Amino acid sequence: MIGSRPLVRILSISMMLIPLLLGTGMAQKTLNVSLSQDPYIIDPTANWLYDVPANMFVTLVGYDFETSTVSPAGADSWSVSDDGTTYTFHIREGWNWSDGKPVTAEDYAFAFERIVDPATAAPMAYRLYIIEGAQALNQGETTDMSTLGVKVIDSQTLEIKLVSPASWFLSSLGSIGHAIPKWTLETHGDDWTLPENVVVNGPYTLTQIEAEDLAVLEKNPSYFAADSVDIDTINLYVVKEESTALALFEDGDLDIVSVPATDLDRVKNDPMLSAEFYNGPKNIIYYYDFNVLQPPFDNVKVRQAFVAAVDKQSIVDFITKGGEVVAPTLTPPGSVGHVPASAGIGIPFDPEHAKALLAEAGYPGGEGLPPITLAFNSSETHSRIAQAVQQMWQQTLGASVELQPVEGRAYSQIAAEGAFNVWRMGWGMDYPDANNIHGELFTSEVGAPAIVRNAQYDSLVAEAAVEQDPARRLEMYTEAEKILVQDEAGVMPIYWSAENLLIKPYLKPVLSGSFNREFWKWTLEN
Amino acid sequence: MITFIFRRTLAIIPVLIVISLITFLLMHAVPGSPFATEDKPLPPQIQENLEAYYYLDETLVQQYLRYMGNALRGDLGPSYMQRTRTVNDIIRDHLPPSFVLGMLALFVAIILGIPIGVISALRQNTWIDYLAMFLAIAGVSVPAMTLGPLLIWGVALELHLLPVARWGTWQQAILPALTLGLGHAAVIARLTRASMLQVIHEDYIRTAHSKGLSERRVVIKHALRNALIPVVTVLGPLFAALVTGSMVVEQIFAIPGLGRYFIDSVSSRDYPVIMGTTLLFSVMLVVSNLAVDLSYTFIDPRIRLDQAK
Repeated sequence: MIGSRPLVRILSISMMLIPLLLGTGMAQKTLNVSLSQDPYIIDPTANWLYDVPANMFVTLVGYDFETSTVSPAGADSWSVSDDGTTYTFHIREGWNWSDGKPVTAEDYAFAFERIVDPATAAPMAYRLYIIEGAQALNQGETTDMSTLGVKVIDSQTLEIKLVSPASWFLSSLGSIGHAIPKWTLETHGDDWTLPENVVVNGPYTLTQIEAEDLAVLEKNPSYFAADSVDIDTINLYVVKEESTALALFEDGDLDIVSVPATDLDRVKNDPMLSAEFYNGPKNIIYYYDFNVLQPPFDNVKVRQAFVAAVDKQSIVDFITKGGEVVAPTLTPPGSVGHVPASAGIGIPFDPEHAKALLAEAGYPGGEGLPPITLAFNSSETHSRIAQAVQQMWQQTLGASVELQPVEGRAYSQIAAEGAFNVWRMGWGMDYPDANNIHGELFTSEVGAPAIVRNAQYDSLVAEAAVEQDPARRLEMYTEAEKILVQDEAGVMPIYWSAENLLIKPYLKPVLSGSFNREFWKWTLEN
Repeated sequence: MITFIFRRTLAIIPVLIVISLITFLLMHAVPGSPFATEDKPLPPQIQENLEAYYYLDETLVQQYLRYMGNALRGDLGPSYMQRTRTVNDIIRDHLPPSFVLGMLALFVAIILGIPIGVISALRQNTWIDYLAMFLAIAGVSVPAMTLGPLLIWGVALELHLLPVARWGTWQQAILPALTLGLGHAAVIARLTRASMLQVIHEDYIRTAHSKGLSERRVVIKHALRNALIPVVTVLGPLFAALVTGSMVVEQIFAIPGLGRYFIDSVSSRDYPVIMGTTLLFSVMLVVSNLAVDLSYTFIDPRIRLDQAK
């Protein structure tokens, strides 16, 4: 009996070694990241959030932010008719869903049908109103899906007909119309996105999900470019508190994390952390709207005076401090239709000019100005920026400004209807094209009731949306921005946001100003 | 006793109906749509589709009856914020972590609070008393929002004794339980001290002493038992509050608990979640108060429930 002990020990040690030996041949690469939202949101049709689903379902085309071009994704080629209204997509061949069914044009057609179907109540359905029949279907004027301008020509060919030519349409498809496996919805209903049911055609599949806790993505071998996907497993932990995520990063539990504004100074001054620090642009514009329905901002000179009195540079230098860029115009850099600073559009900081403008408007030294209400949705940063602006307006223009923090949900609605004189807004780009800002926020048709209206601006934005020539488009958007932020001064752009991250040295992410979670493009060094 | 429990249990029903009605009216009286984002109100047609999808296009009376009808059948409705999840899912998934954390915090609060309170009462106006009460005031004054990150920094990042955050292992439960429990321990300590001070000057304590009983027996059997009544009274609501989750502590330690739903559902106008969490809390509160009332009979035999009105 005693003699058998060493044998048992050797046996058990070698048993323990087996997985180790097997493992060395195929080292699993695992990435640990945090999510600030609940990962239960998987269905790309029903939600705005794409961090998880964009890695599971493939859109027709992608967008390459480094080269600012539309890139092949689900479709490997496409063509546009001469009149610019008919798009024909060729879907990749020899590519299967994770259950073995081939990916076809039907899967994409179904995705578009599902978004415009009012029964789905998809929040972003309005972005497809450019497609023939989409608006009538979504507004319940007809229920006949055959009126939708999305047609399956054959198993690999999809045709989309537009109401009018739209230069921005192709790039907008990078974030809408993810292929949906219809048969799984028919079998499982709302539970089709659960790990045990989900069928994907993208780089990753969902293998585990715990509400408010974590989601696990595993590489999908049936993805058409599975060979080029470097990371095998991605653990996405739900961590809502930014400072906790930072502590987890410092403890080695996360590989990449966003740095909260309050920790920026510490991170930049820490010899170890500063080496892992990344600062880059983020396609979000931070701006103030003026209410033109009431005095004094019904007067364009007053609006111009108030803009000229704001020192935006000191706001980004001393308040936000995260490497934000002062924005003279609205469309962020990197998006089609961004107006370069060299064009000289916008109202520069000039206190003397501001005073002169205000005097011209009939309020010399601020005399006779009614009290101004400046509203913002309650947050520390918004509040500090508003305080700075309040002080600038008081000191330079003699205006008495009352700050009005408003609780989130009701804010945008009551502000849009004109409850305040000035109110804060922000907009993150859904797709990198100026149409996403001008065409969806400020024209007379879609803009908040209380903001400025200008017919020439409206027609420029409408024309730019259908213009095919990129140079002509930029001219039109330049002119449109000039009207909106300078001549009319209906909107005051303040800054374009910045991304501040800490990244472990072995992780090589692909980062862009917009969607930052394209994990299939990331690599991990061993 | 049985009739008392039966009567009190029946009384829960009208209480819940009144609470549900008030909550329902209040939440619909607050302006703002559940579907607007902070950056932009939704186009009107999209808004209409969403409202129809969740029956928000019906009258308030219809909506309330629909909700109560479903709730009686055990269906607390969908969550507007998370399409594929129902309020039942949310409570099923998130109540357990909150419950465990709340019980641990309650344990911390009792196991520290009562002995500290007793000791400082017995050593009134000595340095032990001053130190204990200083700690208690500190415990009440330092909010979880400060204590949590402080513990993460000190215990996890500097000393590497425990994990930073997240939920699943017993090690991960220690820091959040302390963060949530210490403040309440301080409250209980102060309460126990005050109550003990009152009791130990009573005649019957002097009698017990003069009978020659040991100090230990006098304190535990005679003094503490009576002194505990006000403490047990606060434990009822405290239990209900702790086991339904703490938004702050759960957020700091990335715990998938129910706490944030109480706050987020209101700010996002997620009506069914507001109703569900409010009713859940009401049930917890009513039940724990019932338990407190029952426990009085064990602590103090003079209290007879059946005769109570």
